[in-house]
Amino acid sequence: MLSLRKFFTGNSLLPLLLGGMVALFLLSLCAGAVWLSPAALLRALGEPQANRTTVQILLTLRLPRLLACMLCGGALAVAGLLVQTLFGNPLASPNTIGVNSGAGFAAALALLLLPDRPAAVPAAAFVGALFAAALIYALSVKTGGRKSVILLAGIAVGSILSAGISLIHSLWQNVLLEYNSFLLGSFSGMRWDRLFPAGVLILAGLTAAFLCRHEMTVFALGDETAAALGQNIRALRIFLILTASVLAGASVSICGMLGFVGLLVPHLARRLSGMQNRAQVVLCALLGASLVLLCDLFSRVLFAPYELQAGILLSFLGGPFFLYLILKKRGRQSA
Amino acid sequence: MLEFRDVSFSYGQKAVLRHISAQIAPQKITCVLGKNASGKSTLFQLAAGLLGGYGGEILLDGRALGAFKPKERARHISILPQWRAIPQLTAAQLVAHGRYPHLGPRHVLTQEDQEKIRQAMERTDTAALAQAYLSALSGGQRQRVYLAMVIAQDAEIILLDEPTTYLDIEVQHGLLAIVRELKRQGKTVVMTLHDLALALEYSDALLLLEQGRLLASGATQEVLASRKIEAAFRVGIYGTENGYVVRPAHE
Repeated sequence: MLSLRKFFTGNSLLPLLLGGMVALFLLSLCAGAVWLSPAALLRALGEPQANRTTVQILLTLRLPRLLACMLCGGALAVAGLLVQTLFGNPLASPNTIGVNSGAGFAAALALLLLPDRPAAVPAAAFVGALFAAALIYALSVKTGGRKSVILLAGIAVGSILSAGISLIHSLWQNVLLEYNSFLLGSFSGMRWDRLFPAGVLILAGLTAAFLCRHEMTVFALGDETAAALGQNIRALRIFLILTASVLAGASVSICGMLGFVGLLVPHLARRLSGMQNRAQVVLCALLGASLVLLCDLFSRVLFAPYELQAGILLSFLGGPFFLYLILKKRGRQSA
Repeated sequence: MLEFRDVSFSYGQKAVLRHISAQIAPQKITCVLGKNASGKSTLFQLAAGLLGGYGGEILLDGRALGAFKPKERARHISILPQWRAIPQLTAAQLVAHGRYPHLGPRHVLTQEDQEKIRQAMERTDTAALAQAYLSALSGGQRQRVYLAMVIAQDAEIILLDEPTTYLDIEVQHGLLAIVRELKRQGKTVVMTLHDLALALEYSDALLLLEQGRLLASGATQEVLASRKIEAAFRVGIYGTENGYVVRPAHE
């Protein structure tokens, strides 16, 4: 029987995923509290003056929201790939090692200290993500890079920083008005101004990750082999930490601490295509964008007219998957 | 030529190598011998430029090794490390990584690169495994694929750190026959082997280390005649028609 991986080898996978993402995007444009048929969309495009309500729904509600979904999904998935490559640990992701919490805490701090400067939020989130990533990396180096230590340290650092967010919310409740949405990750009420400059940072981060795709395949061979092949592994490590921090930080500043995308998607990409990291950056970006679009779509239509946070659905998917990975790993160790 | 001049190295307070001075004979097979923790792997890592912060000098063709950029160094010295990952790559994909130091910024394999990869896989008898995933290969096959990657790197000096560990004796000899072939093609091979009999059989020159010090160096027969190997390992070494036999000293 033809395996999934063999089916997808060659050039069929990327167009297929791209087509899937575009289809989801179009479906998401139509679906929501008000259903807009494709015919209505085309009419609105042809005669915007005569279809003002439709145009307004599209331009002010759905388009920024869907773009945010795609940007954040792609960013978190690629950040997950970078973090997993950096630590050589398939259980690592911006969520599990505390990078998202670092970004969230710094973003909340920026909202508290610089309420009149919304542009400072993504920058602060980047610094927070960078701080958490660098701290975990330093701990992993100090402890000999043991995989369990990285995860436990990540959980500890993540808990401390999440407690910091809760503290800010408890003392200054007007800072994080949508506290639950921020903690879980949500795209509800997305506005164009929240996409800038974070969206630009995400595009820059994705480009940087794409440019170092070849280097990542060499790095994945292990420090010693990569260095023996002439790779400047110290420079690459710094590059991976910085890029993952930009992606996770910018994403958190847009949609809050959306979890599990960075864990789920790189695994899915590996399952589909093997370990060719060269294509994986693009695969992860497309799969991440599609997964978040899908979760956001369900979050809007499942209990319409009520909305769930997209992060809830991702946690329902990601939590069991995380447990599956741990059990699979244990099974391998005891085999 | 690779040369160590008064090289010392410590991990924190612990001295691992002390005042090593030796020259590696070009186009020969040199075996580095020593008990566990004698500093063999550290010497390899220094020679491959993987560790810095050492005392003394390591020279490659008369130029300090530290002055080489990583890719430039990797075009002259390749190393098969003791620990090797098992990535989800096919054999051919892994061997292609050997061309990394020769590739430009776009990482495109030229006709010449592809020819080197093909030759390396043929030389190591791994061409038939090209599309197999590394995780599906036996230990011996995987070792040969990694050796193919090192050969594809096409450096004039090849360092092999315990290349025969965990392999069946037949596979060990097969792998060492490839090493001999590399020497015939003009490569300088430096390797560590736990098996003294194999090391004596396949080497032209020896470096004998004990607790980070160089006890002896030179042509294999000279070092053997000095009986320093027997003293260091507390063994008796006997030459037979079929090679060397190594026995514990008290037998």
